[in-house]
Amino acid sequence: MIRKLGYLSGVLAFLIALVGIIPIAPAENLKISFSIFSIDTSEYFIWGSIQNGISSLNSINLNFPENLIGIFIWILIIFIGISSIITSLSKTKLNHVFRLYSINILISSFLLTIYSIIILVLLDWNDFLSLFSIIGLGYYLILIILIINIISLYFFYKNNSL
Amino acid sequence: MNRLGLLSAILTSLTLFLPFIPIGIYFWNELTSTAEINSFIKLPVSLINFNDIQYFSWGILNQDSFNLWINNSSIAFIISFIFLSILSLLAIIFSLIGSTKTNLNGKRIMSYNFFALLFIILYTTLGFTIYSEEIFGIEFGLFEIFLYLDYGFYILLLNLILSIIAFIKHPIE
Repeated sequence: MIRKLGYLSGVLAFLIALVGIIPIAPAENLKISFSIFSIDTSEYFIWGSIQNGISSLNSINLNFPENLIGIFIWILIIFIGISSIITSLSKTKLNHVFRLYSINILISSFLLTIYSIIILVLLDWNDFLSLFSIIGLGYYLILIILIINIISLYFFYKNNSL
Repeated sequence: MNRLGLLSAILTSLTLFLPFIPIGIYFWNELTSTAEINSFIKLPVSLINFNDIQYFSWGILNQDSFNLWINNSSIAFIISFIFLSILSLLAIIFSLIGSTKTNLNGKRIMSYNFFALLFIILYTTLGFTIYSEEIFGIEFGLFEIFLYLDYGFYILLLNLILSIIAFIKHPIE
């Protein structure tokens, strides 16, 4: 049953990788933004950034080889999405599941570390609570993906070592 | 079920049926306050991008007009249609059928997928160079085509590697 959580982890990863903004009530400016962090009018996603509703920086309009970093990070999150769904399939071999959980944990920890460093650099240390206005939903979703994979790995290891 | 084979079919489908992969999808335009489905980034899946004209597996996209390979009677375009569009379609069919068959027959079909992708990549690099005057309007030197390769080509290259692994690790019951 715990392996089925991989579907949730996969869907979340694909949402972060592909979707920008989902409007809930446009008249009230109520929307779900999958940004990792935001400063003033700029929102930074896993695939690039938007400023005042217009795409500003992304992997496509950056020059080679700078764009490779952006594409690499984007591919990492796509990989988490695919591998999370693969781990949930009942026919996947047990040793493959173990490896994929470990890789997912490694990648999501790596992404969280990078973004945490960026957020801490941007943070105004005199106003520590501004941290919560900088961090976006995407950051929390990567954190949830990490937690899901750790829990899944723990229960998977426990159930298969008995 | 060969999952890598299925993934290979998905990647080939992306290059054959789409002009771009939408990234950063939104459902509401804040500037015009209208409901629309669009994306902030459009990752092009063209094989070649030469002078802002994109060359896909299915045809050519020139700013706002598109042309399928089959729509032109020139021999270079017909050959491009066979080596790019038809072979891509065959690669999708081979990988879909091969990935569902967990026997030696399935493994053989997966090898056809690999060869189809190999021929597409070879045609993109060598064939486009040979027919460069008919297709691009100027004659390319040897390896000059590598300057104009786009994301679609690299997706196909990744796909080729995937298809080799899918062939080697094909499950036989």
